[in-house]
Amino acid sequence: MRNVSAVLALVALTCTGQAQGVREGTGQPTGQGTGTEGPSGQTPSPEKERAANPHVLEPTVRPARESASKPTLPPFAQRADQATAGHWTSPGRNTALTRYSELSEINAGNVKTLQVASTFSVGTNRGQEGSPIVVGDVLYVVSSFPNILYALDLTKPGFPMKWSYDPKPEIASQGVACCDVVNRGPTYADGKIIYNTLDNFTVAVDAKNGQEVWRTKNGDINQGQTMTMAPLVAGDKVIVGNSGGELGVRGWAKALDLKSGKEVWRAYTTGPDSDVKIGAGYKPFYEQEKGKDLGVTSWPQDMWKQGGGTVWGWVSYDPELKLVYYGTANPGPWNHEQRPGDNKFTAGIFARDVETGDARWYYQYSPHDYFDHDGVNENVLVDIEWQGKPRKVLIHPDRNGHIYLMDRTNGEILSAGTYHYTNTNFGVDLKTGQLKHNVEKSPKVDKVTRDICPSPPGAKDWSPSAYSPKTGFLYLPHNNLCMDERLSEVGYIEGTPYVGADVNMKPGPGGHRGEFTAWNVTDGSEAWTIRETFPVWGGAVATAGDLVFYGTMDGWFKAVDAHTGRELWKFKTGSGIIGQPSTWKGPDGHQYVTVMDGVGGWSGAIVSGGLDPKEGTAALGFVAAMRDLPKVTAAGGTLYVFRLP
Amino acid sequence: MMPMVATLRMAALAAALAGAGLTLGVARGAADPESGAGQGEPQVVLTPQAVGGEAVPTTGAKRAAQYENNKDAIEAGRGLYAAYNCSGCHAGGGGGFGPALSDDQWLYGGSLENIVATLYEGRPRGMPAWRGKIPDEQMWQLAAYVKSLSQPGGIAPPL
Repeated sequence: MRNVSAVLALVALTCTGQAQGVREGTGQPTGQGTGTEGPSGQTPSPEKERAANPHVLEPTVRPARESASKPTLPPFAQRADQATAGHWTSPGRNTALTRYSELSEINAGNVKTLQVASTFSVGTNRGQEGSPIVVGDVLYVVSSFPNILYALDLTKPGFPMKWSYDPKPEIASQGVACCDVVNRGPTYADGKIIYNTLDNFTVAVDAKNGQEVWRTKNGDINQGQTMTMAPLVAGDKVIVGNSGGELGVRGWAKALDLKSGKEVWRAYTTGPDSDVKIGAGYKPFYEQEKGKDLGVTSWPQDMWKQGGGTVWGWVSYDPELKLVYYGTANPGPWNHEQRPGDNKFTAGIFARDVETGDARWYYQYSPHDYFDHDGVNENVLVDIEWQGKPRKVLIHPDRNGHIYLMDRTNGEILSAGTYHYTNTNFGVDLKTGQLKHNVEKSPKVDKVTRDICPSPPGAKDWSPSAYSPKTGFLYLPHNNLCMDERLSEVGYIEGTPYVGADVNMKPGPGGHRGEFTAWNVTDGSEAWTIRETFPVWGGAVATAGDLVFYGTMDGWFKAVDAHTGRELWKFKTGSGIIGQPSTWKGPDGHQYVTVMDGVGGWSGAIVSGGLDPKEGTAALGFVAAMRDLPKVTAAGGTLYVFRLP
Repeated sequence: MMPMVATLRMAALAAALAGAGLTLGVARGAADPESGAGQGEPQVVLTPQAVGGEAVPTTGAKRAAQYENNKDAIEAGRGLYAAYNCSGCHAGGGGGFGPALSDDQWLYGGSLENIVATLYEGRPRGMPAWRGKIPDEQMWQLAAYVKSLSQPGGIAPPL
């Protein structure tokens, strides 16, 4: 067993500086809030906010406007969808991550009669962020820790269990998971169900009988590493990445051989070019991404070694360009004053050659990230006509408040529209690619900076969006959260959190905490937004039946009109929803819709982890904004399958 | 700025640790045979729990009485709680990576002896074992502070 120790000098650093988290005075109990007030007891109002900060950015709203020219699914994604017609073989549906289904039996005209066909308990009651997938006559679903895989037989009444597989992850791995012990789902390829376990294994299981085919160890929980992301199969490789950006973990992405599980390449996010796999083929679009060993030189001495930039979000793949795309997480620690520099290559996006892992281009969404604004959100690949010319693009809704439309061949930003209220920056300079940071909102050591919007989970966190080529809209589950923050010096102790910040999150302008938005990709405007009480923390699915499905943390699974956002149907689940829906055609020839309930995740840790609502800085400050969640939902873990009567 | 007294105390802590040649870095999962009890450390027995969860301390009761509700011990523990990064997992007491300490539930017993045992030996779901890494005196100070978090006025006011 590995037992690497951090040297005492780091403790000395902590002790002699402004000690982290040390609070003066004896303090008073705060009482249990309703969750609708901030820690100061106030919800910011849009009017006051605008008056106080004339620099805020807000979306351009063009109600329900659909552009004549709509982005199309790339030909490779269309072919993949045809090949898997009626099935749902990976969380993103295809490697373009469109989460769009051609099925239309369930549609805007009849969805109001949708009803439960069957249910299944996954046996755990921590946050369920996974996606049910369907291959042939079998549905597969993975629970939160201990990550049990279940196969359900869709040919029999009630969809009974066919088999289950228990990877037996280390119990102690739960102690290094920053944000509940979630898993974002399995994927299918080559007769195998492939997924990651919290204790850093990628496992491949025979889809027919549940026998383990291979298992590969990728990391060590004693270094603070875990794995929560959904692998992506890119040709004959499985792309995976690590979690642990709140524990000073050094981020990486890996390609494993689909047949054997053996490592083909590994690319680090920080460190020398050789580790980051930057060589002659690396041609970033913007000047600030060029230079030698930026993964070392954009950090204070040696801090890149525990610099974060983990790869816990979504991976997409263009088989024609042979490029994989993924985002890198926040730099560590959160206390940015301890790490002067741009902190490459965190909080940005890599395009890499699938065969070698060599970087082709990179772009940093949030240089020297101030706010825990990871760049790991999904990159949805579509083709667009842009200023009269066809372009291969990706759409990326970032935590920093903007939706990037980028040329995926070279990393050029075509547009970066604001999709949510933002006062931390003044937008993106399209000429230089630089995010224009608002220094007034920089968090500081030993001083509270108030009303920073968006907060650490950003305007949108991991919750994956869906794209419909029928409307040209990207459907975004997202947050409306601001925060107060105070930084403190933190020393690095391997295997423990490396954060250095006290945060109190609170509802953003308007007082609601979540939104579900339709975004016109072509003209970069908001078509409609549905306000939700809590952050919308699960995924979305769009269908050819002019429907979009998503769930809420207070336990409503909803179908809304893809064009207008009008609510057409909803169903109350047992626990709140943070999972990803999917839709597929059963062996009986009829369309079904599935989703897991089971509240939790970072936003719902107050319920799934039983955290103390009196203490707002709990769960990295999320508890302050979620004090009322335990009053409306309890933990759970049930798969729901819906169909028409 | 921190109060001067706290700064001094923490500097003293660092010096004490340096003198003892101790290093930090925590282990989870299987026990590390090389990190056994240091010289002069009392043996803290993993506390058995009676049916229904009532804690039955087997050792350390006299020691506990010196620290529990002792203002100086609690203050010292407050600084250590930050220095050893307890706050990283348990926040200001409300929890996060690890469970809440400021509520009224004690997963492994809420006596000071129980808390010290938890610090020494770790707990299976991810609490690291600090035996050999934190001096015994500080273990009791930390426990005194942790215990104080669930009492009225125990947690810090909001930012």
